[in-house]
Amino acid sequence: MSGEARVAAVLEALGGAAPVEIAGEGELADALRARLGNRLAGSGRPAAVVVASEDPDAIRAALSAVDDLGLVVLAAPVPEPLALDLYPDVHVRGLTVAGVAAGS
Amino acid sequence: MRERAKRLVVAGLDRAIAHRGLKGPEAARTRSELVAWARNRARAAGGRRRLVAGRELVVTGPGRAELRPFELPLAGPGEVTIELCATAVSPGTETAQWLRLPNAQPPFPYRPGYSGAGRVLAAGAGVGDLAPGDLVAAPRVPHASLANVPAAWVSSVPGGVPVEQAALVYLAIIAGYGVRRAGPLADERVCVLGAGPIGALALRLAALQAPAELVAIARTRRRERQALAGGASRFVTVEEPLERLGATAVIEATGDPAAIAPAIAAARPGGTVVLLGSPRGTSEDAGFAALQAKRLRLVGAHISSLATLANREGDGSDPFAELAGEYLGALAAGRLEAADLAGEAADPREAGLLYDRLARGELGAAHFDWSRLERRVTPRRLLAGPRLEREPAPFAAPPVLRPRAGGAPLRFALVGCGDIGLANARAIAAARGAELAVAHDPAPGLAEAVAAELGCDVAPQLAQALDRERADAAFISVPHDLHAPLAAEAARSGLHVVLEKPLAADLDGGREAVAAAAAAGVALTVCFAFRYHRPIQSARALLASGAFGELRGVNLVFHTEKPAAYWQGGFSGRARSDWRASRERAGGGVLIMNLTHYLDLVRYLTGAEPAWVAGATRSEAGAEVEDAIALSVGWGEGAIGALSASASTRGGSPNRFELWTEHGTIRLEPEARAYCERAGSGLEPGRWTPLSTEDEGDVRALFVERFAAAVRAGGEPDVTARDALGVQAFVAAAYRAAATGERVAVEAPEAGT
Repeated sequence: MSGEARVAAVLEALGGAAPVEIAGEGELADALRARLGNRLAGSGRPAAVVVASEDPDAIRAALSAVDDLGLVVLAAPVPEPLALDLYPDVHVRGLTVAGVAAGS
Repeated sequence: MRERAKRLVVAGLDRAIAHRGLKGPEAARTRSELVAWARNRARAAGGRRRLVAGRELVVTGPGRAELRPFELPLAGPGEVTIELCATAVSPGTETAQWLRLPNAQPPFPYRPGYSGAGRVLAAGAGVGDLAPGDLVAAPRVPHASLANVPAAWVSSVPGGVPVEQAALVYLAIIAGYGVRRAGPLADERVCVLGAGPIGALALRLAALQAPAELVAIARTRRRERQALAGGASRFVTVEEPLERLGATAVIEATGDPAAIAPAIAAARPGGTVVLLGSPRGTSEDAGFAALQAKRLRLVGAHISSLATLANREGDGSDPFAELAGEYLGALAAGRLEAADLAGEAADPREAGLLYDRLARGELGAAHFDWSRLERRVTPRRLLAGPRLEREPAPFAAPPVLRPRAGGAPLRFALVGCGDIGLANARAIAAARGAELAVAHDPAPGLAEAVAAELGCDVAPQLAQALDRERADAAFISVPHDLHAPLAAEAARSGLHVVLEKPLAADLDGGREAVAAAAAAGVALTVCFAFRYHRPIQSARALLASGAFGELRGVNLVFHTEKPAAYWQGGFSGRARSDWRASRERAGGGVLIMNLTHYLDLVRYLTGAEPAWVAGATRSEAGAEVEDAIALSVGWGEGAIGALSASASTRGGSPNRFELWTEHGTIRLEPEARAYCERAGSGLEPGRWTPLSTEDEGDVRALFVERFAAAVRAGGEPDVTARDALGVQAFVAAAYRAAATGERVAVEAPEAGT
């Protein structure tokens, strides 16, 4: 998937969610920040977090940081296996975790 | 000012509690109860509301559930008070809490349950659409006979809907929310993973949306029929290739952290997986790589997020009420069945038992039936003091009946006037329907002392005592080796025979004594008078109720310190003799001398005959008899026991006598109390209850009275010859086991007779 296609896929996954936080560094993260502009999160809990990092802790941090009923978009390749307790955040706070194909 | 007053009151309470010597959890509970008592009265008085009392289920510690009384002011503004008929058990949540699984460890004490149905008892101000007597379904109510609930939370139950199915309302709301989060399901392929009540409800509610295909997925095929009856068009197990399912929506309702992988596998690319079941622990692999590869959306659906959603939408809609209405309406219209999900009706007093059964997988669904309680709701006076019950009132079975006086008394000849002989003489003298006619002892002065105290004749010769003209029965309290020959002689003289325990020095002697009595047509008994103690009678009544179930074990410890002088003349030294130290004369040591009472009690209480015994003895250097014994015992139906006795425990040690069964425990020493997890015994289930220790008079005298009455009536004495032989047979087997080091079968009492 080309860089632009991935950005488009992430934006499609985000829908109208705002504010959005981008977790991670690199081309994809930079491109998303540039495209999201004033939808980027300031203070307070973001409605959506895009994880543009392959670090498993970044995923855990995103699940914890996003607001109740929020959205976490997995934009970077997810490491396997990824051990997680899905109860406190995904389940209890009603989060949505959306996968965006990272490599194809 | 109010806060200050509150602090002063609480400080006063704490001082009062400390003054009573209460500490730790006990103090915390008392404080909590006093605060609740005061708060309820403040609310009741302030709102001019009556107070009522009900019962609630409280889990007080690991594996401990109690039904406790509690008070409520009747409904305040906007509230209804509901007398609950049924509360649904959520097996996944409540079993997880019972087992203290991850993510399911509420602090103790906690009140489980969250869904019920019942009748409106009272409606507060402003509640216009509900009236006393209305049947309502109530989400967010714990397992209790009574609850105050905001009227906006409850839903009327349509006519014809069984109350136990209406009680599932909150489970249905939870399941319905999960279905909603899956998105539109019409004409789609949908999977539901998990066949417990939440999964089953999710499947049935999903079926109402007319999916193209509805597939139930579970670990085993145990609930296949139920799933297909609930609307599934197919049933597969997790072992099958789930990738082929390609579902638009997968609702994961197992609560198993490992279930996320099969849920993701069953979804088609671009599909949705709803995490409806609460994961009990960490998923070793949350499947996010596969989720990403398939561009899935994983949506959490804990019910708490529904409240957040409703608040955010702020359009005045009440999704809880909507989901409840959908469920109840579907039940009323016959579009959804839930009788199997309501499950077994359980007695709330047996909650611990139910949770254990759920944990063992013996049961899939259940509800508490509050109509099983005699009184679910009782009025409470505002001025009534706090009830700080710490334990139930003592349980007491009726005492053993004392026979009526009347007719000629049974005349006793006392043979043997040592310590126990004197005690038996006093018992005869005190007994109704009995008379101490004559006393005999070869040792000078002993019989005379008895006569001087109790006013009977003295017989210098044995034959003069065993004279049918003077006595009807002989009470023989002599060294054990003399039991059999004296019993035979008394029987041949036509006297009924009472022997101080044991029956004889050995089993052969016991059989001889029994045979002699039988041949002479006279009664024979052994003075196992401990049976008549109140706690023993209570224990027998409890076991006879059936609620305790099968015997599982016996634990007996008898550790005493007998002074050196004991071996030369008993505890008092009145009758000088070293027969107690003689193997030939006594038949043994602490086992035959002291444990025989307990052996009889176990038989008396349980009706169980020991099947085998193994053990060991120890003796002081040069001693013929054992001063300590340790035994393992087995009963026919799998019960086992440990018996330990010692006559040389320095400083002595409290006795311990305990029986435990399938559903309870009875402890008789050091303190008498009992516990049963089932209703129907007379105890409050799930609570240790003391047993009354108030004997009605001297038990030895009662023994004599009842023996005399039995003989006069031509009936069997309470302690039969068979009972006596049963104890003797065990003693014989135990000594043989100790001597050989092998496990020995205990002969049946009838064997050899």
